[in-house]
Amino acid sequence: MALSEPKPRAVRLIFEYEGREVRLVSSEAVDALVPPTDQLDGYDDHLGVWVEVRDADGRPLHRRVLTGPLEETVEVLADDSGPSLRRTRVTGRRGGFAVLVPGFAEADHLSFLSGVGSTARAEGATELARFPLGGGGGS
Amino acid sequence: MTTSDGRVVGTTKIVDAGDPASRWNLVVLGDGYRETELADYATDVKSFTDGLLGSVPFSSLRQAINVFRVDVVSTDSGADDPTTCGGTGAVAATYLDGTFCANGLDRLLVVDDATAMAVATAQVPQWHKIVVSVNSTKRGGSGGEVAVFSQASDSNQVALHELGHSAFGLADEYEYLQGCGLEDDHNRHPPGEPAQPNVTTNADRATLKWRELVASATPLPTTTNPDCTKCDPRTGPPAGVPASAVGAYEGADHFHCGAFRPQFTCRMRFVDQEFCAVCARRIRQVLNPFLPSVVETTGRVTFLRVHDVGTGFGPPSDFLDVEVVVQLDTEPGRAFGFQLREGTTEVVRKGMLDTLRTAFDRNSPVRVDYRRTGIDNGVLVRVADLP
Repeated sequence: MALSEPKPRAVRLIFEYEGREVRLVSSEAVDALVPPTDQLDGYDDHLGVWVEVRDADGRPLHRRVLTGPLEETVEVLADDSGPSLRRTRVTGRRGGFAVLVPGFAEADHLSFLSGVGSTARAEGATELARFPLGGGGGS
Repeated sequence: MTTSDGRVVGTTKIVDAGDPASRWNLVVLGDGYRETELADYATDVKSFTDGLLGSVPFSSLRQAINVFRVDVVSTDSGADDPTTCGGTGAVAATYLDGTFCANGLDRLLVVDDATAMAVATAQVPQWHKIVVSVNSTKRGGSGGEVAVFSQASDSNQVALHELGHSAFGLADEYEYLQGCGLEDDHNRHPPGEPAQPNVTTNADRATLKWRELVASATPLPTTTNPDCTKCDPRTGPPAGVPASAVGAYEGADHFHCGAFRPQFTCRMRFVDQEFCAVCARRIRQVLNPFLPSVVETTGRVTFLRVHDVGTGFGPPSDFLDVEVVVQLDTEPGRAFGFQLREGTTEVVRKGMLDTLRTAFDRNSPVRVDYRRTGIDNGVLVRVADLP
């Protein structure tokens, strides 16, 4: 009987984005520890953007709030000498970012979600994009 | 302008906490350094690293963090500085293509993210975060997956703020978007709870995100903004509230009202401040799994208490079931402890207590080894006095 491949400890996915369009550039196994998941429930009214590793039934296995990518503002120093920062709105912002997730055997896909604070309207978060993980996290 | 404008020389592990497979790995790249300037680059990276590991809470997380310096040589020195933003017009041929004036903003200094990630992956496959040191004394930087900083005097502080975002998921705690008095559409935070751990729209004592860090004597909300069309003009906490008090201060997450921050100030509000207690706790929460199972620290004993079995110490999520409680000057907001009357090692434990008492009386430093039990607290397994 053939032995199955051992699952990687982690998978790093590298993305490019322009505005809120996200494209997967690469996915590779990494022998590294992954920072702990953010809370896996109780965020129905949350604002912001996050990624979730989900199983085939859509259950979240790992969640990470994103701060930076996909935002419509960039942060710059506010003036020539002070300790303040400020943000400026930009359109069509482009860049790259990485997401390091655990190599769960149950992992089915990675979802990008945008929360709009909509518990009262029972709408929940909007899925911006979904990328298959192909079992064990890698594709 | 591209990778044809230089080369990767090699990598040096300048802070070694252990196997990269079990530690948090920070990779520093350089851009705009010529071969003859690599010594300057090493100095710049050391300055950044010293600033990082000397600041709270990273100073108590050194055993979790590896730092790798990747030496990258560029053809030219510096970065592009376009005249369209009022720059000098300098054009520098550099490996990571560093440039000011990104998105038309003079101080927005960026590099090619894809190249930076490719270099980091090739040199340190287990990287968790990348920062790029650009060889320019002009003030500038940027956040995102690849944090970029120049060599202006406060750039290291800006880089720590940006790490707060990209590595630890922290929100801005300042109460405006573009600046106080510059906008009229940031008066009140929209409905909904920010996903980040250090800002909230809910200041209720029973359900506040960081309620475990709020003293019962601290009012909630701790401050309210009297005029939501403006930034709150206060320059400090209200009378009677200590500067370090964790509470709920109105004005955060880019809005004058309706959003609260945990302390009056924080590095996520002003870059020249330390991280507040809530941000520090979040950073510890992220990095704790990268610490060895037994962690060593040193400091002077600021608090030593012996109490009855079952009394314990700390909030429910970080509870220490101990009889002896110790706090150190080097570990603000944290507590350590141990059971005094347990099994066959009672004599050893009484010896640990004696050592701590002597150090407290003499105000002399001790070394303690502890096993992590929560985000902030730990159980002592060894105590030694230091000369």
